[in-house]
Parts: sequence; structure tokens; C-alpha cells
Amino acid sequence: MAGMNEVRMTEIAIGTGQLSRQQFSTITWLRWRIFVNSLRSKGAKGELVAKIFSYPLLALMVLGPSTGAGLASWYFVSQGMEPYLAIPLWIIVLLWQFIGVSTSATGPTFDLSTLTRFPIRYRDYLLMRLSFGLMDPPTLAGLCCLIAMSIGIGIAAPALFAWSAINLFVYAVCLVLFSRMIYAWTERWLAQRRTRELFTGIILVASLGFQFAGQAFGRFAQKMGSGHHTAVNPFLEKTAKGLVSVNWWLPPGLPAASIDHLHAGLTSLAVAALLGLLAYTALFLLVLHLRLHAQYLGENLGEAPATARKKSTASRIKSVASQTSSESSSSFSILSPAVAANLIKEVRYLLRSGPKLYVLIMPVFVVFLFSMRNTGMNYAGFGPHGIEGILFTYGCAYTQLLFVGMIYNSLGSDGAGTRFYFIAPLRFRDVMLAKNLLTFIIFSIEAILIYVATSFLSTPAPLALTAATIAWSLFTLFLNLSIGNVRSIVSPKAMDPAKVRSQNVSGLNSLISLAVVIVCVVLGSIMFYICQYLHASYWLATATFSGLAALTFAMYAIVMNRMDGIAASHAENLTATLSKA
Amino acid sequence: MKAMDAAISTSGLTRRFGDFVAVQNVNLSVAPGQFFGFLGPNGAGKSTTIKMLTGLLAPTSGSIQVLGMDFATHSIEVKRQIGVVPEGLALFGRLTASEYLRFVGQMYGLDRATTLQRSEELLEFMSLAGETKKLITDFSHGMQKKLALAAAVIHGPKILFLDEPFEGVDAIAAGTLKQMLQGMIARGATIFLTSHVLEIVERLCSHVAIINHGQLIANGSLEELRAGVHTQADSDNASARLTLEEIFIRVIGKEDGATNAQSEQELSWLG
Repeated sequence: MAGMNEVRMTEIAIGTGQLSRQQFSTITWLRWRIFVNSLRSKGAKGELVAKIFSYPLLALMVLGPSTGAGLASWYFVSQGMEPYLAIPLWIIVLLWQFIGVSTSATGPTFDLSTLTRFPIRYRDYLLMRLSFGLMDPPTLAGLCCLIAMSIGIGIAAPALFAWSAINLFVYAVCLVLFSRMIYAWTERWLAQRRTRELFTGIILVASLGFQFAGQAFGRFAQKMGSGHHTAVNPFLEKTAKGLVSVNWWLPPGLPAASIDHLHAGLTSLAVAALLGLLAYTALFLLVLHLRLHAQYLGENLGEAPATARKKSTASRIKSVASQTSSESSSSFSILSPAVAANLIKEVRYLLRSGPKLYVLIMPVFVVFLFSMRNTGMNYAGFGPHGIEGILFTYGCAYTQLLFVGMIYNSLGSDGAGTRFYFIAPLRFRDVMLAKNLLTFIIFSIEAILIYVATSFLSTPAPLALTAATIAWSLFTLFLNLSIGNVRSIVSPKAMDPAKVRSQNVSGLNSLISLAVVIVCVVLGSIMFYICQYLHASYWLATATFSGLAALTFAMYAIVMNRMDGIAASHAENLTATLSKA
Repeated sequence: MKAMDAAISTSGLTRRFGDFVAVQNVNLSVAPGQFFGFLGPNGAGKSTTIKMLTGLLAPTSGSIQVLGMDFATHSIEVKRQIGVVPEGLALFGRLTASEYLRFVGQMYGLDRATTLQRSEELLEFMSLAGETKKLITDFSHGMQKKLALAAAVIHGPKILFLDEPFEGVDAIAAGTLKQMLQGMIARGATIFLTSHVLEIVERLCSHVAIINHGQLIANGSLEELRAGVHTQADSDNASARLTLEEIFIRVIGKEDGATNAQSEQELSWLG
């Protein structure tokens, strides 16, 4: 028996270093296999085509900020304005975090925390968590920007190149650790649905707040620049000065200060600033370590066990009574029971989904923001009515754009519940009809709200333009619904209605929806230009788009009649994919 | 039994996934009022069969008759008469339990008052009545199972299909489910059940079918199955009565040709 144990121990007793290397290469291989195997699924070829198209676009999106960061650095250093390097550094840190929040997980994902069940050393686990996130879009974009900054500084002042490269490298490490730290801790806090929803709400409110602040700041800057010098609020001035001085003690300000001090010959201060940055890096690593170590030792992040709440009979009767009254008021008696029940379900889902509610708020909010820019500017160079007259059209077009996500993956939030549609005695057409009805109702409410808002905030849109916009909106909506309903069944992706970040989306669906929106917007723009060119009334556009809307409605009706057949032929893939949520 | 008289009957039921035949030429007949257990090892074709019987998957060939109606031509009518607890439960996580039951009731065409009354009774019976404000997504697995069963019976189905109903359910909840299922059988309903917990199947089911590699290899009452695998050694040991687990192992073992000697040779390095 002892001999047998010896043999077995010899078999597995490979060196620890060798085991680590083996584990790293195994995980690299695993990620590659997950990617390759994902191409074997139904519709994977389409997804691959979508990736081939979208990756160069993403690369272009990275190229823009990188070029900007490089040029800005070159300009600041060549003009002797090194402290201003803090500006692109701040922008990079913000982009790094916000790209991470807004980018969707288009590919297969792998939760590295599951590795803790293997015989893996903590040091290797930490390294894996750090290194396997380096290829994500925000990190790549941030690194490109920092490399461009180094090049810009190097061209402007070659003597500063080495020092700035060291500073920016440490800054990059600092930001990688910072984003990993934030991600690891939010993962901990968001392990429960309620905190996840709360966080979603905060993100959405912050996003609206940033846009409002941006507009307010723009107005303020314009006022200052236009020569109408008004006294700056002393409190604002004091706050701005305070923020600038604090900036030199924070990670984005420290590399700028270090480069500036070295340029000024103050080597000791330059080194001190770099050491400050290193201290931040170490701090982020420590905080990240605390989280990952707890994860490594094992912890349960699931939902808290249910607390048994015993209600008194009286309160239960009361709740049933109130439920009965609320439900009777929310019935849709003109619809068939199946459509009505689905519609009620959709309304409930909508009211419990922060991101979907955000879609409701955004168009009206954007109209409000546009109205703040009441500069008399003739937007996009067309329209005799300027921004005031065309705000309603912009609002409706923007609403259509926001609806695309809902329309092209309308079954995504139903998850495993989708199986029910095939078990129950109902037609799939009714399920989609209820979803489309809700979209239509929301769009109608949005359009009315936007019209009312534009009328109050600036001037009401002219009648002909309003009619043309409504006709265009109907044409676009029915076209999107016709294609979106089919795509929702053919290429579904499970999604969490409470989450903003990392929602699974079909790349091909995104590409198709983008193409449809572009075609509709281009058609709309051409028609509006034609009306302008011919000095014709917008009634021409109204007539044209009404005809097109009738055509797309007919197309929608045909698709809906075939909906049961389409759903039946994709039932297996649809239910299997959405049940994996 | 004629197909018209049977609660469920299949003829030449086959399902292929590309070259792979998941279910092959299955001829099955379940009489009304039977508690029918459908067994098989992992990957044998149980879930594929139950998916076809409940309309979640179309057969490649063959036919399914439920309560004398052809599933292919009368799918809506058939679905009105059956209740299903599928694999994955098919719940809508963002609804509360009572909202979900109301939704399901209306989908099956029940009026609002009946739906509310039945959902109250079911929630009370399943000990879920205290969880009125909680979303289903926050329920434990056992609670979700109970809710799925409540949803499957709210319209009073004549046939109930259950795919692994006792998996992940605690003893108290399992007791509640069994009590409910036996009550349904007593009132004349037919239950078609798949489970890996053979003790429960043995205790509940009057008839059992075993599927392996997509083919039906045994079908009948428990006594008939016992007689089918009876050996001389069993006759010598008169006091021993074969359990369903022993029957299952013998049937599947015979089919797969596995022997104890083979098993012993394999994994000799283990332990």
C-alpha cells in the first residue's frame, strides 16, 4: 500500500513552477477552446461575420482617442504646458472605467473565480485574474492612448521620453489594478440582485447627471467666451481651484507633475511624484488582494437565504384584496386573454427593469438637453425651422435608436420562461404581439411626451413636419419589428433585465439592426433634403413615408402570420439558449 | 390498448439531431389514471422524449396521440389538457409567485376569479403564501420547483408531465409534492414522470418504462418487469424481492454488456 502511495505521489509531484506554467497554458487553451466551440453553435457563422465587421470599427474607435491623446501630449509639452498632461490622463481613466461599463460581452465569457476549486496557488490565481483581463476592450484602448502619449511627449521633448514612458507605464499598471479592484469589489457587492439593481440605478442617474452637467458646463463656457462677462460664482471658482490642487495628489495628476518637475530640473520632486504613483499602485494591489484572497479561500456570494416572513391572515387577505383590485384595473379587455396576460407580464417586467426604464426617460431628457443649447444653430444644416422646429424629429429618431436593443432581442429577458410559450396552449404570434404592443405603446407615449416637451421648451414642430416624422417613425418601427421579431427567435441571447454591464448580445443582430437604422435615417434625411430642395412642403415626405409605413406594416403582418412556424423551427435552440441564463 | 383509449401513446417516435439518433422508434402506451415512470441512464433519451410529448420538440418521424388527439394536428387542444414541469422549470424570474400563477392561469384560459382563487390555494398548499413580494428569481431551487408544479396544475390538467420533479427538493417539500400527485391520481389524472430517484418512482409509479440509447428496452408494471429479469438465483432466495434499482441495473447492464469483472479492471489505480 505504501508503495502504491509512493508511485501515485511521484506521478503528480511535478515541480510547483512547472504546475503553474501548466495551469497558465491550460487556461489559455481553455479560453481558446471556448471561443472555437462557440463557433460551432447555431448561427455562429453569422456571429463570426459580425465580429469581422465590428472589430475594425472598434479599432477605429480606439484610434481616435489614441491620436487625440498623442497630439494633446505633443502640444502641451512643446508649449511648455506639462501640467496640462493631467487632462488626457484624467480622460483616459474615465474612458477606461466607462468603456468597461458600457461595452457588452459579445463573446463567450469564463468566470475565473471558478478556478479556486483546482490546486492552484494564490499567487498564480492573482496573476491569472490580472493577466487574463488584459485583452478586454477598455484595457486595450487605455494602453493605446498611453503609448500614443509617450510617443507625443517623445517627439516634443526627446529628453523626456524615457522618464515619461516609465511614468506612463506605472500609470498603466496602476489603472489596470484600479479597474480590477473596482471590478472585484463591485462583483462582491453586486452578487445579490437588490444591490445589483441599486447599482444600476446609480449608474443611470450618474449618466443622466453627467450629460446634464456637460450641457450646463458648455453653456457656461459659451457665456464666458461670448464676451458677456458675468461675475463667476465665487463658490464655483473656489471649488474649481480646490479640485485642481487635489488633482496633483491623485494618480492622473502625479505622472503629469512628475514629468513637469523633471522638465523643470526638479529631479527629487519628479521622483517623489513617481513614488506617490507607485504607492497608489501598491494600495490598489493590496485592496484587490484582500478581495481575491477572500475569494480564493472560498466564500458564498449567492442570494441571502430566504427569511421566512409569516404574515397574519388579516394582512394576507388585505394583500389579496388589493391585488385583485389592482389587477382588475390593469386588464386589457379588448385583447385576447393570451395577449392581455402577456402584455401585463411585459408591463411588470418593464417596471422592474432599470435599463428599460432608462430607455423611457432618455428621449425626453435628451430633448431637454438639446433645448438647453438654444443657440440658434441650424443643426445638420437643414430644415428651415432650425433646432427649435426639428427637435421633435430628433427626439423620435433617437427613441427609435434606443428601442433597437429591446426589439432585436425581445425574448432575452424571459430566460428559461421561454419554454412556457411552447408548453402552454397559445400561439407564439400572440407572445410577440404583446411584446410589440408594449413597444408601440411606449413609443406613442414617448412621442407625445417629446412633442409636449418641445412645445413647452422651444416651439411646437410645424404640423407637416410632425406628420412626416410620425409617418417615418411608423415606417421605421414596423420595419424594425418585422426583422427584430425574427432575429429575436433566430438568434436570442439571455439577458438580465437588472443589469447594464456585460449583457450578452448577438453580434449579427447588432449589425443588422444598425444597418436597418442607418437605412431608415438615410431615407429620412434624403426625403427631408428633397423637400427642402424642391421647396416642397413636408407633406410630400408625409405621403412618401405613409406609403412606406403601409408597406412595412404589410410586411409585419406577413411575418406575424408566419411567427408560429418560425418559432417552432427554432424552438430547440431558442429554449436551450435562453435557459442558460 | 388502442391509441384512442390510451392517455398517451406514441408510434414509431424518432428524433434525430444530425447523424445522432436520440430517440428511435419508441412505441409507448400509457393508460388513463396511471402513474407512469419513465427511466433511463443519463443521455438515454428521456428528456428528448418528454420534450416531444409536451410539444417542446418536434419529432423527426412517428406520431404522438394524447387523449386520442394527434399532437401534430391538435397541439393547442392537447396543451390545454396537459400540465408540464419541464427541465429548467420555465419560470419568469421577474414576477412574483402570485403574478406568475395569474399569468399562467390566464394563458390556459381561466377567468380571473378562478385563477386568483386557485393560485391562493396552491400557494398556501405549497407553503409559498408568505412570499408574496419576493421575485421568483430570489426563490430557492426547492421553492421554484414547488411553484413550477403549482403552475403546471393550476388549470386542472388531465395529464401531468414531470421532468425530474424531486431533484434538489428537500424531504418536506418532496412530501408535499408526493401528497399532491397521489391526490391527482386518486381523482383520475395520469402522471408521466422521469426521475433518477428510483425509490420514489418505485413507491409512486404503477407502471415503468426504461429507455437506453434512444430505444425502449422495458415496459410494463413493476411485477411484469420483475418477472422479466428474474433469474434462478432469485428463485433460490424466495424472501428477496427485487427493487426497482436492481431491476434497472439488470436491464441496463444486460443492454450495455457491462460485467463486474470489467468494472474491477478499470480504474485500478483509484483508492
